[in-house]
Parts: sequence; structure tokens; C-alpha cells
Amino acid sequence: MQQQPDQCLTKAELSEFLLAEGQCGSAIEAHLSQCADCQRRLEHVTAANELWFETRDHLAGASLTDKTAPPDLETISQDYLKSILGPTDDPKMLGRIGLYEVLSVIGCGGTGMVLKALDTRLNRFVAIKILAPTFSTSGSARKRFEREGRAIAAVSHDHVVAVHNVDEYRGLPYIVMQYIAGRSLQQRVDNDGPLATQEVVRISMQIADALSCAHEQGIIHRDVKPSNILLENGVERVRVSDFGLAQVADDVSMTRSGIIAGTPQYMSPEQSRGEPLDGRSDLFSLGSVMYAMCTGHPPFRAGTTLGVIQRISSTDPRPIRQINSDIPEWLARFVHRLLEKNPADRFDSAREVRNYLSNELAYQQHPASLKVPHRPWMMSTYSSLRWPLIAIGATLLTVAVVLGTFFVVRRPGASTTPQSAANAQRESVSQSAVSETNEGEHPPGSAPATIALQASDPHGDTLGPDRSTSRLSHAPAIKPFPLWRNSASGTVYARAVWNDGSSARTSSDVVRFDPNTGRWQPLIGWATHPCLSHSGKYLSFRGTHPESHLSGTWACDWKGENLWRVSTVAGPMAWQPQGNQLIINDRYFELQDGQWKTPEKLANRVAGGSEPALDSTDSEAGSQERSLWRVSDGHVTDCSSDGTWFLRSWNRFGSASRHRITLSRGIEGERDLLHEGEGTVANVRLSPNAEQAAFILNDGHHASLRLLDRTSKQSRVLHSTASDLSAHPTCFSWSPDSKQILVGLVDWVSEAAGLESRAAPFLAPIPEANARLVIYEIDLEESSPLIVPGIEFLGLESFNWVADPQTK
Amino acid sequence: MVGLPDTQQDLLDRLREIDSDTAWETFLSIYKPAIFRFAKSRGLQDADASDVTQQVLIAVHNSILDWDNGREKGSFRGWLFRVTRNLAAKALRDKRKHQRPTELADVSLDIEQQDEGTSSALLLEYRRGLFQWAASVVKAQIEPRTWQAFWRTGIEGKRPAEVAHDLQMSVGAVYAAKCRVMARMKEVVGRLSDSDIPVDR
Repeated sequence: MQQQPDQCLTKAELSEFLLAEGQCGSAIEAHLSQCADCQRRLEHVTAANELWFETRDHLAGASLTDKTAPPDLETISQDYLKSILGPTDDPKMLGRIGLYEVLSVIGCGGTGMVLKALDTRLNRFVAIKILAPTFSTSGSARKRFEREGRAIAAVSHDHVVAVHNVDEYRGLPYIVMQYIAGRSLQQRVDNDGPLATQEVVRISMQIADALSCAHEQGIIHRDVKPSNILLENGVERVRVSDFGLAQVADDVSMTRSGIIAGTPQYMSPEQSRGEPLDGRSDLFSLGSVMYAMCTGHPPFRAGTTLGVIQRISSTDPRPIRQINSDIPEWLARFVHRLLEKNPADRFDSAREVRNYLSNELAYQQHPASLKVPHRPWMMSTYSSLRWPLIAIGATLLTVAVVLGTFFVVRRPGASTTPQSAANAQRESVSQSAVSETNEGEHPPGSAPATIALQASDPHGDTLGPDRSTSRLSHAPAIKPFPLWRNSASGTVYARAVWNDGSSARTSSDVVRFDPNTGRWQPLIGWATHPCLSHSGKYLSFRGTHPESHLSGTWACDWKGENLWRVSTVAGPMAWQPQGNQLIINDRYFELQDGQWKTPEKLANRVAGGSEPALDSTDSEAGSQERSLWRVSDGHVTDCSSDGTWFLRSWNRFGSASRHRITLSRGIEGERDLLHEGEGTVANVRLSPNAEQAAFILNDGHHASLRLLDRTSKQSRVLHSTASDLSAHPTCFSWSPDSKQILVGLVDWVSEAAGLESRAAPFLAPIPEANARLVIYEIDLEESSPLIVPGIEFLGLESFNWVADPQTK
Repeated sequence: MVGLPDTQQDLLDRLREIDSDTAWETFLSIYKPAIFRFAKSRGLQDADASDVTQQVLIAVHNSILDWDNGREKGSFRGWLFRVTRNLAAKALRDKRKHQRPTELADVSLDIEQQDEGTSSALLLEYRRGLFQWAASVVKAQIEPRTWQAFWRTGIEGKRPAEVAHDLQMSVGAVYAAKCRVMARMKEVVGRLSDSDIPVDR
């Protein structure tokens, strides 16, 4: 290499120098030592300034501690702010937009940011809304933002947040509004819960007043929701903000992603379908806001945006008085009238709503001197005729609950005299356990699916501290629920949820009921996907060992005394009938002389057999096909107890999700396609008699529990979120006689403040065997808010085996 | 550079392999601190943040086998971010059940919990994890003195002349070391950052 130390280097030479190793560049180094220009250019060739800065930011301080807190959100948004704001002379201010000195950030939303600022000319505080840069880059959105802003500025009303100005600063459009000191209705409901009737009427009347004024000027709000309703400090006067702004955001976000931005919980059905709107859409949203004031939560809730939208268009909300009986009948019906799906079935105008509410408010305040206001919405109409039906439905459900409780606790072989539900609830863990051990007297093979356990009594037996190897020993109250029962030993395995009381942390663990001592003992405190061998001697599960941090698939014996790490892979697993063979991720492992080994003859065998035809989207994968193939091969999820049948499932996640379930006779047998379709499946399990399989299908909108017949290959829905608003099936287990399935349901209900969830176990008998559906609900504090492949529910607090209703 | 995954996709593929401990280690060294710091930044205590981290990692570990290559690029990370956000939010909610929500004095307009903010915070933590992992990889491959020259000038911002004196190198050699290390950092980071998530906030 020809060195030219006295001359500056070209870009190509610098690049070459960067890649060179060793001392060959010493002449260049000599030049670099003197030439500041080349120093700078070398740095520039190496990496852009941004990358140097980013590297420094990320690495600086890294050697000091691993726990450096990153800049919080406020810092980030302030950094961002500084980049868009103009400089200010006042050190107390963040920056400047036009004539306004910015003091602080009030809030950030999906479409923009709201700032508190000082209007220097008029010396008053204002709120400034800036459109997020993603929106402001679209020219049409900006034009619209300005046009709407000017239209809104024309609305001047006591209950509307006034718009002072609409302008643009350095290409960013912004709206200057009246600054209101106070809190939003959302915050009030979050803090105080449901409001008193008179407050509901007062606030609703003022919102309707604001809406009627805007509607009469041709402006539809489009985003009436509690966080847009401000309550002024002190007097709590209502101020409605953000008129018409929702549409600006929607226009852009819809075209960008095809998904509706923000919370759709207060949207009207016609709005969620993207249809043209009139003022009656706002009335529906007002109805939703009133519903939230009456009950503490919006009328339509689901874990996903699409779920909410689906419920808005197709389901009736739960009657208000079922949730809050303090709300008078007239008000409940008023709200439900606003929530009619068809705009023509609602009130005609915001003015009409305002007038009715105004009369009601006056009557509330002076009930003695005024007569009961005219309430035309109480007349029999189509909608009100439905109420008795709902009431009948509710009664039936109550009956079912009582029956369900009865079935749950009735002991096997008990006399036919029905025990009362109340008595039944008092059945303790230990009593039930006695019936459990007695069950061993049934001849093998004929053991009915009888009661195994009633463990939901929170004051019942708790786990003893006698085996203090896990965190469980500190748990003040553990409510175990059985997963499997080993009928030979009388042992019950359960997953328990515990709470250490101090940090409200919850965890689920596998525990074991020992019939000899009559006590629950912790087995494994970190197990997921537990799976019991056919003999009941071993339990396999996935997890990460809390001390060694080794993860993978593990197994332990039935007492939890021996623990093995069978595989480094945490994969789908199925026990072989031999009792000491486990298939993990289609590979065999066998327990020999106390060690898990891959049997010689079966080493590394990925079962062959012919694969059902792949659909076209798969074969397009081209060069990736090989790796795809291995994945799309599916994994054994279950095998029959006689070792004949092997069930496999395969999932493709993502927007075009698909699943496939196959069955083969023997692990290498030809795979017969049992089921294929959209969505992903989980918990694919054969019935003990191997005639049927059950699985949970999630198609992105609903989760359903499905039954699949081995011979006819027909599948049917046993339970779906579409048919029951309350819950998602998340797990299940077959009864030993293959006639029943016990299902765990978790409800993912999203709240503006977060997620609330309920769970309920219920019994879904196989239709031919028994047509009854017994459901009962338990309100739970804890539940996992995730719908995530691989995570099982974390918070199902109790779960019962249920007696076979046919066993007399 | 044997043993390093070439791309994000390759890392995913390797994670699925039977003996994936190495890939898993790589995954852990990038994501574990990122998830932990993110959880802490949401206001969780160390113990709760560790729990969240553990839950996320278990979720990944349990799902990785079923993860399909057919998904669009980068969505694995999107999914992971979603899981992390949800679990952190859940932990925070659980914690807040025990304390009265404090009223914000200065709030008048809608403040919505938005995804954008948490996404960028999480992305920032992911990038930090990625850079720190890359630093550990590069550092192991080069002479300590070269690394020192890079670290003191590039990260600590010291003047090259001063560093050259301390390390008994020429100023040009300090520049060479600084830039060569940076070039390697860029290469290692670049391999794993191909995704649909923009690098810039």
C-alpha cells in the first residue's frame, strides 16, 4: 500500500483504512495525528453523527450499573418538544409557539399533544393542541385540521371549551383553546366510581346542552367520551372539548393502517362501520357516557379494539340496574334508549334529550312541588318489550347457578336428597378429599367423573409450610384448583394461585394433595404447561429453574422428590403410555436408570409420514421452505392412553393465521388431516377414549372451545365468546369417561383505566351425552390480561371438578 | 465472529433449535436488561420489575417454537413489546390497587394512556440492550488498549491527545482505534436491527 502521509486521504482510502488490521496503516496514523480535517472525515466515514451519539448515550454509564433508569416519558416528550418549539428568553418556559410561551405538557394522546401555555398578549393561560407529526405530514389532514378548527371556533357556549385560535408554527398546525383547571369525567369516574343519580342527570344535561348547540350549527362532535368531558374545579361545570377533532385523526389513521385509532368504546354502531353520521351518533356516545357514569364502566368492553367494535354493533349492553340497582328505572331506560343500535330508535335530537333531562333535574331538586315529568321513553315500544325477556333470561341463569352449585358439591354415592347450595358451599377441602380417596373403590375403568374437590373456599385448608422449598411457604392463603387426579394414589395435582399479601403479586404453582397426610404440598413453584403421565407417576412441565435459571422442559416424580431437566427446549409435550417416555417437540426422551436419555433406536428422529397438502401461501415461501417445513410439520400435542393415536397441531401466527390438526396411528403413521382453517389453536387434547379431540381456537376476534370427531372429522363449537359475552375459554380438561369437559374461562374486559377481568369455570357437557350447560361465575381480583400464545391464565383462583349430573 | 446470529430472523431460528442455549443467551443479554429497565421506568420496584422480566421471558420461551417464519419481518419484536407492555401494565395495576390514585393538579384535558409513548420507551431500552450487547461482543475481540482508546474518546468524550498520552499511543492511532471499534459496533448492531421498527425515534 502506497502511503502518502503528507496528503489528505480520500473517502475510499479512509474506508479501506478502517477495515485494515494491524500496523499497516502507521503512516496514515501519523498523518491522522496532525490533520484535524482527516480526523473529522474518518469519524464521518465510520458512522453518521446520530450513531455516534446513540452509541454514547447507550454505553455511557453502562459500566457503572446495569440498572440505570432510562429517561422517562416526560423527558422524551420534552426533548421532542424542544425540537419543535422555538427558543424562549424565559428560563422557566419550555419554549415558544408563535405568541405563546409553553409552560408544561398537559397530556399526550394518540393524535397529538396538549400543552399549557401563556398567551403573552392577553396574559392568560391557554391550552394548545398540536397535531402529532405523523398526522401533520399529510397535507389534507392539515387543511382539514385548520378548517375544522375554524368551524369549532364558531361554537361559543357555556359548556363548550372555547377555541381561541387556529394557526401553524414551523409547519405544525396547532389549536389554541381555553385553559380549564379541573379534571375530566374519566378521572372522576375512575376515582369515585358510579355517580349519584342527580349528578348523572346534571352532567348529562349539560353535555346534551353543548351538543345541541353544536348540532344546530352543523358540527358533530364524533368523539364524546368521559376523557373529553372536563369538570371545572369547584363548581364542576361541564366543558366539552375536542369538537370534531376525532374526524381529522380518523381520516389519517384509517388510511394509514386501516385500523381505527384510539378507544372505540364510546363509538356509535354506525361510526364503527364508517357510515355517514348525524347528530344521533353523538347521542349514542352520550348514552355510553351516561352508562359509564351509572355503572363505572363503558357499556361495551372487550380485550381488543375489534372485539369492542363487534359488541357495539351486535350486542345489547348489560342492563344498568343489574349492575347498579340505585339507578332509577326511568334513567336506566333513558340510557338504553340512547344506546339503540338504529339511530331512528334513539331520541330525535340533542335538544330533545336536553329538555327531558332538564325537566328531570328540576324534579329531582323539587320532588314535592313538581309533578313527575312526562316520560315517553317509558311507553311500550319494541325496545322496552325486550326487557321482560332479559329478566326471564336472568332468572334462568340464576336457576342454573344454583343447580350448578348443587352439581359441584354433590358427593358420589350420596343419597338423592338434594343438599342445599348453602350447605354445599361449606364443603371443605378435606371433606372432599375424603370422597376423593373413597373413589379408589370403584372398579378400574368404571370410575365415574365424580366430585374430586371443592377448593374455592378461601378460608379452607391452606397449604402447609411443611415443605418450604418454594415461595409457597410464605403464602398466607392459597387457593388450589385441581388439574388432574391420579386415581390410583388418590393424589390430586393442582395449580394454585397465591398472593403474598404484601406486593399483591400473584403466581401460579403446581401443588399436590397427599391423601395420606391430608395436606396440600407445594410441588413446583415455577411450572407452566404441566402435563401428567398416564400412570400418574411423573409430571412434566415447562419452566425456568428459579436458582439455576436453566430453562426447558422438566419432569419430576409424583412426590416432587426427583427433578430432571429433560430437554433444553420448552416445547409441546406428550407422554407415551409406557409411562417413562416423553415426546417433546417430536423427539423421544426416555427415563432409564434415573436419567433421561434419547433412546438409541429413536435418536433424533423427527417422525416421517406424509404431510397433508400445504396451502399455496406456504409453498410460496421458496427458499425458506425448508425451515418452514420443520415448523409447519406441527408437534405432537397428545397421544391416546393406549399409545395408538398421535395428535399434532400446527399454527401460523400473524395476520393470515392458520392452523392444522392431524392424527396418525403410531407416531410414524400417515397423518390424517382432521381440521384446518383460519386462526390458531391451543390445548389440542384427545378424549380419554380417543374418539374425539377438543381444542381452543382463537381467530383474532373470538376464542372458542371446539369439539372434533375423529371419524367424521366434523367439528362444532361447544362454547364461544360470541355466544357468551362474559368469557374466553382458556384451558380445559376431559373427564375420565370422555363425556364432559371442564373449562376455565377468563374474561378480558378492557377498562379505560386498565383491564379488569373475571373468570368462571363452567361445565360444558358433550351435547349428545348431556344437553345441559351449567355455568357459574366467580368474580376474581386477579387475572392475566394477556392473550398470548404460551401464557396460561395467571389468576384463575379456583377451579372445580364438577360432579357428573347423570350420576345418581 | 463464529456463533453470532446474522440477523434478527436468524436469532429467532436459532432460538428454536434444540441446543439453543447460545442463541438464548444472546437473546437474554439484549432483551433481559431492556425489559427490566423498561419495567422500572414504568414505576415498578426492582422485585416487581424482575417478575415482569421473568414473565416476559417465559412467554417468549414458551411461544418461540410455535412462532412461524411466515410472519412479516419484525413482528416478533412487536409481539414481544406488546407482551412486555401488557405485563408491566398489569403489574402496575396490581400495585396501584393498594393506593389511592393521586389527583393530578395540573390536568385539564384528556390524558390518554397511549401506546406510542411506551413503544418508544421500550424501543429505546431495546436499542440500549442491543448496543451494550454489541459492545460486549466487540470488546472481547480486540485488544484492551484499542477498546480503551475507543471508550475514553468515543464514550467518555475525553480529548484524543489526553487519551493518547495516557495509553502511550499516537493521536492518529487513537483515532484509528476509536473509529475501527465503532465500525465493528456498527456492523454488529446492524445485523440485529433489521426490522420494521424505525431506528430513529
